[in-house]
Amino acid sequence: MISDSGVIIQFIKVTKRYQNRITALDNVNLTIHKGEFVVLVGPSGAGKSTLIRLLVREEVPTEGKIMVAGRDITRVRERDLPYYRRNVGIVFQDFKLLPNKTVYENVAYALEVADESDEIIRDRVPRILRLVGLANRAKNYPNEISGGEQQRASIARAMVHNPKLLIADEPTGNLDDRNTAEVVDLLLRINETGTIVILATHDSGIVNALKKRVITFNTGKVVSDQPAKKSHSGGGES
Amino acid sequence: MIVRLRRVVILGLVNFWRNKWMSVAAVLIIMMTLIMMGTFVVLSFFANNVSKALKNKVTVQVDFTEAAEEGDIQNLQQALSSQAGVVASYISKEDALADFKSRADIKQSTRDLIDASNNPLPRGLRVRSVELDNLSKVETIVKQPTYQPIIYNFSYDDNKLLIERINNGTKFIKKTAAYLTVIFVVVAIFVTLNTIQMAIYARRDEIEVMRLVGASRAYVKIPFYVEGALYGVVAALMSFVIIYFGTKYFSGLSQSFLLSLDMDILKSIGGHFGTIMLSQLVAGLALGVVCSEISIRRYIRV
Repeated sequence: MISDSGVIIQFIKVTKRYQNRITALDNVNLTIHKGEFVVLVGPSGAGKSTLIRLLVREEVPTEGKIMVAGRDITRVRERDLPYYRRNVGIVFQDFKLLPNKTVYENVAYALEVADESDEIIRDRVPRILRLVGLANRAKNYPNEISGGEQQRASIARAMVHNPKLLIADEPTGNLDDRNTAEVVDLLLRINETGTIVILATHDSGIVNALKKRVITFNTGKVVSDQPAKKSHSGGGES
Repeated sequence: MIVRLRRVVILGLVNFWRNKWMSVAAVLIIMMTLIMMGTFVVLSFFANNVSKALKNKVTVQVDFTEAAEEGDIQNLQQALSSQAGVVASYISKEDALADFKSRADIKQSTRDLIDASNNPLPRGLRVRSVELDNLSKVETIVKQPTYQPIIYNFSYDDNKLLIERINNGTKFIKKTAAYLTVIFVVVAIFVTLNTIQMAIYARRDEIEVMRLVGASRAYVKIPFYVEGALYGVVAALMSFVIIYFGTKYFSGLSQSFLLSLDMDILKSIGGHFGTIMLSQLVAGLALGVVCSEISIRRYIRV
């Protein structure tokens, strides 16, 4: 569904109002290119989470268009939504793992819903678990592992189906420094494979260390858009 | 398609097992509903049988004068028997005597007063009717003027009150049972719905996550249906076992004081246990699946 073209995500005059009173996003224009790593920053209520919810089509904007690979996702039909979402990986601050499934099953679930064969599941899930360092936790339930491990499991789930776009909403908000570093490192490695990564964060430490494109929001508006600093190695921006 | 079906069914079964406590709660609630339904079926069966047995006990007797012609008696017998559900059997003087001699409630000395050579007992017609309502027709026929000269005694009037009481009693019991069943079943369905709603409410975040990971509506829903169906099936089995043994126990108990009605509830319901089992299964399945569908609908928006 998402093809390889230069411009891949475009927000065109996007406004989102709740109950027609609170304006969460105000006339936002944004372009994100193939392979980019974008950091969204700004205080709580600035509009980062709203932007993410719109991008996964949890909600639709009040006005404006959101083009992904040339297609306006605000007009995707309800029954086509799952196909769109299978191209998007999402990582949440609170992990959102399915509590009654083991780590292995949580990751496999993302492939099962996409009708991947048993062979592919048996091949890919252990590999991705090794990649995030959870091979020995495969049979554990989420409540049996640490926060950092849970977040790595949720990243494994988000990347197992090779999405073209990975969205991480405050993925390190509940983690200590060491786990934060691990999660950020994983996101960078995913980005190196050509996947667009959109990371919303409060953590200025991460922002400074990453040296990636930083889009700052305030009261629903984009107040600054700084390109990536050239000195950082890795990443895939054009 | 088959792979997908297999996966969603397995998901449902695994969820049923892993959410054990919720499953237990839902199964118990559905079981209560089914037991309630089943009990009313069995009880109304029982009430029907008892009233039938009682009605069979109610007979109306027409006694004839000594002078009555056999032909006239036969005419009346035919007129009565031609009514649907009415049986009029002729009792000769000999039958009446045999009857009298066998009555244990009469003293031997009194019984000895009468014998075949000296038999004052009248000939008669003993009238039974499956439907008590028909007995009023019997009354109209018997009270026709043409028959009056040959009739010595008509016992309908003696039994009238008893008959009416039984009639009203069974009608009342049936009506009340029907209303109560409807009320209880409606309440039980709401409680079931509520329980399953709670079970699904507890997992609403999961549903959201499933959707965001790219699961289609069906892929999210069907495991819940499977779970609901499993609630229903397990509940139906349990409720059936309870109803079966309950009926058996109750039947044994009631046997002692219903002996005079010579009826065996277990035997008379016996042939219907298959139907009861099947309807319990269907009701359980329907309850489980429909309640799951209603409950899940509101959490599957995104």
